[in-house]
Amino acid sequence: MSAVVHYIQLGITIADAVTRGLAEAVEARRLVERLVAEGRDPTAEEWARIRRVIDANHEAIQGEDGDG
Amino acid sequence: MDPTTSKPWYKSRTIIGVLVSLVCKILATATGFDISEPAQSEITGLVLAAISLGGDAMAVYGRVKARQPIGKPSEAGPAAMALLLGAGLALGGPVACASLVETETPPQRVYALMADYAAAQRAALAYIESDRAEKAVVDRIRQLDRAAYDALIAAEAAARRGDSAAIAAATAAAHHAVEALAGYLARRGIGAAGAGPPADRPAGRVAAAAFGGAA
Repeated sequence: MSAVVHYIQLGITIADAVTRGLAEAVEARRLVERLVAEGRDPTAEEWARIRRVIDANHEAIQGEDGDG
Repeated sequence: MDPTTSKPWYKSRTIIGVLVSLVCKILATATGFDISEPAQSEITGLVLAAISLGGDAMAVYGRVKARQPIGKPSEAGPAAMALLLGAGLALGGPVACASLVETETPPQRVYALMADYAAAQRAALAYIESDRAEKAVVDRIRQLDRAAYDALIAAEAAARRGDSAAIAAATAAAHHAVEALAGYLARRGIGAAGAGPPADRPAGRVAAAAFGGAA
């Protein structure tokens, strides 16, 4: 029983994170579609925005083993 | 927790409520169809009622038809959750994968890869921060994340510099690294948006790997 509850909690945690990640991914995809439609490359601000996200995630994933 | 007195998870209003909320969020993200909180509460009540009715019916049916003992309840957890995650990702994946957009310039392509990498990182982080994380898996995720990060930073630099000599190789390396991370997460049952297809690879195969199928 407790194993089932743990799996459900893990599943919900991951699914919730994926859903949040999905929302960001959908937003990013729309931006890419807009870039293509407008025939332009990302602006410095758009590059900075995605870098902030992946830098923060990268730092959290690496934890104390992080490479900075 | 005493299994003889505790309530089964599928009869818990909290758990069913969270699952309903999750499915509604995925639906809203994937289709734009927003379900209000009162409506979600109604749905949760209906699901619980259906579970209760279904449980009673199954109990009667089981009494009449059962010939052999059923498996341990704990065996159902991972399978049910994998099914739930798989359904959610199958619904949301195709609309979320930025790399599936047909880009026209290297910066657009690198940007799309970075977006998918960010989504994969989210799923990886959720796993790492859970109390079920296995050290060997976390170590492998960290290794793949480092490779993807380094490759993407190099690709971004080449794309922004307009360094035509380096762009193709850097973008291919970045794609390969993001695909490796997304593929590993998918094989471990940790759903993640992933890299879309490079020019020489069918979209279906890579998308399947990224969203939970065989890599």
